[in-house]
Amino acid sequence: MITTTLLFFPLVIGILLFFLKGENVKKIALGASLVQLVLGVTAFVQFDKKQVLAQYVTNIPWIKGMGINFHVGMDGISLILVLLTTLLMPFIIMVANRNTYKNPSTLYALMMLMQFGLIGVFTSQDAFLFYIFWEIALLPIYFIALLWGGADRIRITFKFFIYTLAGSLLMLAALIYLYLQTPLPHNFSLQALYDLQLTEGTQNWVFWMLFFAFAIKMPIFPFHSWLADTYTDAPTPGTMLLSGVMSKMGVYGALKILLPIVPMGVNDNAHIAITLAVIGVIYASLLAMFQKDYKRLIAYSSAAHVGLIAAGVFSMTYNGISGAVVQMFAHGISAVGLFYVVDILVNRTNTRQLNELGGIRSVAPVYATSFMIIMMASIALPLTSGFIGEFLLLVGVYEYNGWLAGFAGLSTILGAVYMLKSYQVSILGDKSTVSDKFFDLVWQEKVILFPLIVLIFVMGVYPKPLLDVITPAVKNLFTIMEVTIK
Amino acid sequence: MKALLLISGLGILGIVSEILNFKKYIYKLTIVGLILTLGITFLEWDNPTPLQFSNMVNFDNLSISFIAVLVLTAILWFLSSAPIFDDSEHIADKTTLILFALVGAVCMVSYNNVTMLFIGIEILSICMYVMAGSKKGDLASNESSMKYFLMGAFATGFLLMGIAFIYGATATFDIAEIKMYMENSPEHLELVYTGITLLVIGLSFKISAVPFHFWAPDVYDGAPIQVTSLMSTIVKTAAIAAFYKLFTVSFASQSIAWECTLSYIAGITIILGNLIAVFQSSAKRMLAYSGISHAGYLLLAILANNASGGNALVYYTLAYSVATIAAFAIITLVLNAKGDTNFSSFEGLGKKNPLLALATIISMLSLAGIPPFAGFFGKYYLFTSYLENHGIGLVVVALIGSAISIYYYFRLIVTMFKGESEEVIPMNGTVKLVLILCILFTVALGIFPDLMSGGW
Repeated sequence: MITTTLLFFPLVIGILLFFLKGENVKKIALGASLVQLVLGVTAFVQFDKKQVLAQYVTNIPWIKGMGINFHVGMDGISLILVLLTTLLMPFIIMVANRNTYKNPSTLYALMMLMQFGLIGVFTSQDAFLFYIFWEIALLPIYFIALLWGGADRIRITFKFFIYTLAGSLLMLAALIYLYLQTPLPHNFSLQALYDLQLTEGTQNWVFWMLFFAFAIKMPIFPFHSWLADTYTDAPTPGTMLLSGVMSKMGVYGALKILLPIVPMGVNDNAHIAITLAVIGVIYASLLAMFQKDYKRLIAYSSAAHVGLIAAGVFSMTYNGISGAVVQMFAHGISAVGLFYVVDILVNRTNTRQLNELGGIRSVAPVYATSFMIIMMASIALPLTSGFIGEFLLLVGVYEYNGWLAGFAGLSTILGAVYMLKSYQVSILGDKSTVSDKFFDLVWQEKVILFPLIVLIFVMGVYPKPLLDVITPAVKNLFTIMEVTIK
Repeated sequence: MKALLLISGLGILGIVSEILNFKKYIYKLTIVGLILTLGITFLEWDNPTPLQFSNMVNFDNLSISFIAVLVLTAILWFLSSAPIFDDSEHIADKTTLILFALVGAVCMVSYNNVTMLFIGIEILSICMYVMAGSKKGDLASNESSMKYFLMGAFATGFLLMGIAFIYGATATFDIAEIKMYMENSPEHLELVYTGITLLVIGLSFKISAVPFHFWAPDVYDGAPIQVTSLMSTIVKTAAIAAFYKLFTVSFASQSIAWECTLSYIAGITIILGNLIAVFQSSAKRMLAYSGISHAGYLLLAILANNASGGNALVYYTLAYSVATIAAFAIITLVLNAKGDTNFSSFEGLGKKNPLLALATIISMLSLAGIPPFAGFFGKYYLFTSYLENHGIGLVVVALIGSAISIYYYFRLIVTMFKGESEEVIPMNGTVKLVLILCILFTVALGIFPDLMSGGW
């Protein structure tokens, strides 16, 4: 029941918001997202950690003739991502409230629909439903980027849409093929697909069709070319949705569809996937080092982190996969935080160029400290949220291959380099023309940043509640795969 | 069967209205009559009246569903085309022609005898030739009518020749008897195969599949826009339904003679139709080419050669017709306000015309086959029915085609949000009603596809 409420409440609010006008929409959207947060936390607290199968399940027939059910529920991995989505949504809406957008009601409505799509993706227990939500989630973010994006938005959003949709079409073809392999009467439930006994050859080509869809969404090198433009050009709430939550869709798809359905295919091709992921990590880190545009820098750093998460997933080790789930949560928080501090910077100085900034710390110490803490979480300093996930990921990749782990480990060092360098250039240093105009955080900004900082520390010091939920789900994943833990 | 009689009756009423001078009411009477027909068609569901008129027509559930699709499309079309019934002294003529075209379409989806198929096609085509040239002063309209007529006559030749060959082999026009003949080791295979090939060519002309499509863009572009809308919905639905019935009933057991040819036709139609649509600068021409590519998708249902192919066809034609009617209604509005249908005329219209923008977005998404809208499920049903007894090859081609089509459908959406236009497009109540109905149908069919896909 709680899953269905989580799913349809934002849809109802979203449709309602389309027809409303004026300032009320901001309050309604924020209120709705807080209700969602309460529901998400309730689901988290009441979750039975001993049970490995999906909980809070609703299963009713949807398209009877085709064996398609409206089947939603949450296992540990789903729950973490639902919690992340509901947790980030109020922050994203508060950030949107800080800026003025034309046609606000449409913007908030689209954000609510986006939440509907995302929660749908994370809770579907039916492959067809998963595909439908996968596409539904794409539409609102496309229109958010198209309607409120920067100057070059038309071309950029187009590329983004065509790219991701081409990937999903491959996934659709693969899913229909899998569906037709299920025993009569065919059905689309994930469990039925897990039970399939496919030959190794079939698993291999199904792997590639699914892999393209997920690799484009994450994105993994060399399918990343839509990312930097889209992240930079989208309005800040859109960027937060993209990097905070949507980039997790690809990883989640890999965990929920790719690994359990075609384990042999993954096993045969993991070396390619993981190598691409590690190349992507280093490539994105290097690009980030040479960026002059702050938002673009954060976009590349986000790509580097998601690349490492993908490497962890394809390592097919217990540590790698647990680390991936933990890091998805941690990265969501730090990415939203980072994009917000940069947004504050851009709004006050009207520039995103690093070399035009400087000397901000002396006029805005609270801001500078908050920035520092969020950055530390992003570069995975111990006792911040980023550490535990990154550590587990590197252990996982190491268990797969020491050399690859070495290269992947470079990303933490490179991450520290580009983050600290950019911080030094933009925030520290002597007073400048920019810093004269700058003022410290106002209370509305503190309301957004301080809870994020608290979350960063809480998760860094005491990650146990998260791990407790994740562990059984990951173990269950391995039972399904029946691949011995290396 | 009542639908056929009712629509014919309405057509005759149209002629009478001219004589008895009540033609100003005929437009409203027609709409009421069609709504009535739709209701009666629903009542005939599962209560079929098979084999009427010396086995000439057969109203089984599949025919009834197609009739419902046709009549529903006709209602939406009449509502959206109110302007062409406003001004001229030819109200009664036009209404009558369209109604008889609809009669032809109903014959084409319910025939049980190949002569009936031929008569249906001719009734439909002759009305459409006249309608294509109905803008008498316009050179393009005249050209369109002439081309349509010449090409149509050409295709009819192939069709008739094919029917003659089949008759030569089987000595019957009855599709059930032809089916029996085909299943029991036919003797004159050379006649049968020649006949089937000629029929493939003739019917491919009618549904404008590549390489028999050359007439379509010019005809669609030149004809008055409302007539183009009619051609790409009702005419296409009727032609593909007739195609499906003939080949999956009569020639199902001889699929060796046509499967390969038709597969290639389908594949080329999908790819070429989509590719050429990408390069169009006018929205009307873009829809014409996209209509060609949709004919390619529809051929998959015939290739599937099974019952679920028929279900998929009903669903797809409905989803496609509704979205196309909406798209043409939008283009008509823009044409009236701006004077042309080029993409540049759509710039910035999305900002101040929320209903127009929403209708464009939803109809384009549906045509592009993006969930959760009706068009997606149409494609999905087609693909699964085809995959039931075929390999994945042609479906991959179709998916590539879909990916290409996203480009030009989205181009229209994107254009609507480009630039800084503040223009408000005037819309009257009927058009608003049509757009809202089309949006509701497209969304509802997408969320509850079971509404349509119940077994028959």
